[in-house]
Amino acid sequence: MGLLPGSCFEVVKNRGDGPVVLCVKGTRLIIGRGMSEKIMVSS
Amino acid sequence: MVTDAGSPVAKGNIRVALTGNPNAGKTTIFNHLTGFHQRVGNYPGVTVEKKEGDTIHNGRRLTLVDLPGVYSLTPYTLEEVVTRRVLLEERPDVVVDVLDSTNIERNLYLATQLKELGVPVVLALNMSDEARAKGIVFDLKRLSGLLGMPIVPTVGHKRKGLSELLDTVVAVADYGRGNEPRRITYGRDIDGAVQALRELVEAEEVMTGVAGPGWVAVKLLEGDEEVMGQIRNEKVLIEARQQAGRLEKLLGEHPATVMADRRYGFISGACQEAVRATVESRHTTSDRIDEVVMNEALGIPILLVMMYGVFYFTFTLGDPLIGGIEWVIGQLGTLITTFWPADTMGLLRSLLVNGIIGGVGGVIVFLPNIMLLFLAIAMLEDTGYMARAAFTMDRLMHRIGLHGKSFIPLLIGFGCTIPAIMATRILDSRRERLVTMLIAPLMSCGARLTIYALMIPAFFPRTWQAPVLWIIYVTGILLAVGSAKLLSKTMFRGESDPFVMELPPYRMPTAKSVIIHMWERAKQYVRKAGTIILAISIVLWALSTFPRLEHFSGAGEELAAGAYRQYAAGVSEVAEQIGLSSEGASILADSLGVEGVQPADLATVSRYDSVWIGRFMSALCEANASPDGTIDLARWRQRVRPAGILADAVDVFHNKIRPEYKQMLERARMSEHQEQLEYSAAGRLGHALEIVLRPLGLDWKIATALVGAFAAKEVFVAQMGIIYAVEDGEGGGAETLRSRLHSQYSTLQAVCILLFVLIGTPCMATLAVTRKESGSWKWAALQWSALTGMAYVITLAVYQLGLLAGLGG
Repeated sequence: MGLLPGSCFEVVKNRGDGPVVLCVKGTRLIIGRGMSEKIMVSS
Repeated sequence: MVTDAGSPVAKGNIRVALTGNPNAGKTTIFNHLTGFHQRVGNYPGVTVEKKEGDTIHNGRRLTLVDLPGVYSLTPYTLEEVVTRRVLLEERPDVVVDVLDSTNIERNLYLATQLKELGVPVVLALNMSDEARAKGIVFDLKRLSGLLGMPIVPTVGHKRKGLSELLDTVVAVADYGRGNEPRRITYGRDIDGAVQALRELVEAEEVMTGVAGPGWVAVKLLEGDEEVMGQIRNEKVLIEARQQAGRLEKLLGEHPATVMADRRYGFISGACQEAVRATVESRHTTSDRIDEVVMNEALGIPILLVMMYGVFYFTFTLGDPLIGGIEWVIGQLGTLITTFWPADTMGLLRSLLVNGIIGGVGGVIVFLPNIMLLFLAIAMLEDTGYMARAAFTMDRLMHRIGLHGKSFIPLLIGFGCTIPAIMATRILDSRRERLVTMLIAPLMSCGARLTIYALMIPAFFPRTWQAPVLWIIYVTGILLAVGSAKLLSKTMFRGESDPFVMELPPYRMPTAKSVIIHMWERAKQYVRKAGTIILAISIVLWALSTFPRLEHFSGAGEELAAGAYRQYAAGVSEVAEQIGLSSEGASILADSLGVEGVQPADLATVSRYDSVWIGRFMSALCEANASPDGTIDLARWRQRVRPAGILADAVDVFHNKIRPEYKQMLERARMSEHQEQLEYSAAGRLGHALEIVLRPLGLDWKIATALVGAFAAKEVFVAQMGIIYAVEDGEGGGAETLRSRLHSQYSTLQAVCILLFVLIGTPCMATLAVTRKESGSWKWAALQWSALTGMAYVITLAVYQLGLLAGLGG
């Protein structure tokens, strides 16, 4: 879905519990909590 | 446009596959091109829908296949596997990749993979008007040249560019075949490995199918499970793994990741040259709506309001339509029974009226609900709200191991389980679909409410009625939550899909796409589930009709005779008052009969209405005639009393004697029904079931009614009416039935009946739809037996504990 290692994204919504909304290249994506915990971000 | 000036190939049918990312407008284009000439089916072995349709363009017939929406051609989701299989095995002449032009970079990823596959691709740059509105400018010629694929700008929902799209498709089909696929360079190391693998594949003469050795080599290096699984040649597989391992060490990442990166790099490069964004911010209106709709505090209330809207729309608007359908069916039945006398081929008549018309009625009675529900769902999906709803509910639903979207079918289940199970289609993962489908019958449906409405007032005082009803509904919900948890921890463990979903920008749904969606569901339901429901209806009709009871015990006849005696006595009493001899009265009773005087006549007569008095007088005269037929008018005039007494006599006849007679006759008729039902297979089944159901406090009568409730839950009430020989119907009938039930069963038994009806034995339509939607009888059987088993255990526990607690009384 365009979310690959190395891609840049912005966290739009994260309430600390439940799914997270990301913005990748202009598209909004929802990812589950479990999935979001597997993403390692390097700034 | 990239079309070689080659010689045209055969001018026959062109098979076109439509692919694209979800929400790119693929289906809208498909619907516009094919209209209602669509064929919907399933791909063998999976629940992914297969849609095909034809269109004629400039005298050429094009067959379009609408493939499921995918983001790429990896073999990870069912949709991707299906898409790949169709492209490789069915070999469409042209593949149209529908792109969301507001999202061009991500959408082009699929296009690069299609190109790699070597199929002729035409890109439809859809929603180009939206892109323009957002300030995105495309240099189409340049982009087309860079990508090596023809591009046609379209606006699907306004039908713009579709004709040009078909022109290009035909041109590519006729001339553009055999173009060497433009391959992306993956960098020296990977390209070298691909080349080496390709040579090995060619040397080993591995079957590569239509995609060619180059594509197979790329997939082998990516470690594509589907392709690896198909290759039997160990040497090739070992080499592929070694190459991948070597590259991973060299590049620090798996080659598949690097290759995906390269594809994005290629797209990014092409877009930098040919696409210009003049305005920076994107779908800000969408974001602003999301602020509210996905708000932590407001999200759930808004969702509930939306769901209430769907529920209201489906059931409140549907019910009058259902009433209409029921009326028509009822009229049809009456028409046949009127013109077809009961004594000629009565069995065939009963089959037609009660079996077939009843069965067909049972099928189409759900149609208004299904159509309205899918209209509402299509609107929610097309606007983009559905994804937000999933987000909002995900946290809660996640706790019971389900997806946010599962909430919607479960809610629909309070109206009717049939559309609820069909609504599980909005769920993407098979695992969640199955779990939701299996627990959906625990949402207490509208038909079960008719049973509660009969039972609860019979056993509970007024103040307790509402709380009891509430408890029943909540029990269903709690059991559903528990079952979902249990299912996702046992049978469906580990199959869980990660929750990833796109939030599409809000869009206005188009009438055509929404209506086509609704139409399709209705058609599918009638065709697939309808046939099963009809068949079971006929079986159930046979169960309660055979074996036929030839000789009734005579109780019915006795009742009827008693009714007549009472009627005759009443009439002679009236006749006495108006001065009629007793012999005359008995003749009068006959001539007035039940059908003798129309109720309408009686209702409209004024006390001195000459017409009516004339009619009554003539009846009286006839009754007073002497054996030779002459009437002694003088004698009669002398005996007749003033008109006021006459009118009172009519009142008594009309308001008391006649209705009582009718009611008693009905009871006599019901008593024969009762005997027939008890004698029939259904009745015997009920008796047989009593052995199992006795520990639950249920007797054969309830068991027989439950057999009927399998056809449709509301039949339970009608069956109880027959068993207790009470004419069914509103008001008086239900009251009589309630008082009989109250005298027959304890409150504890009533609770057990309610519980068993709530949990157990989902109706046959539910089974038929579950079978249809899950693709196998296995799930339908599991659903039925698990729910019935659960009902049994819970009801047993409640009854036995109740007895122990001394509540049996």
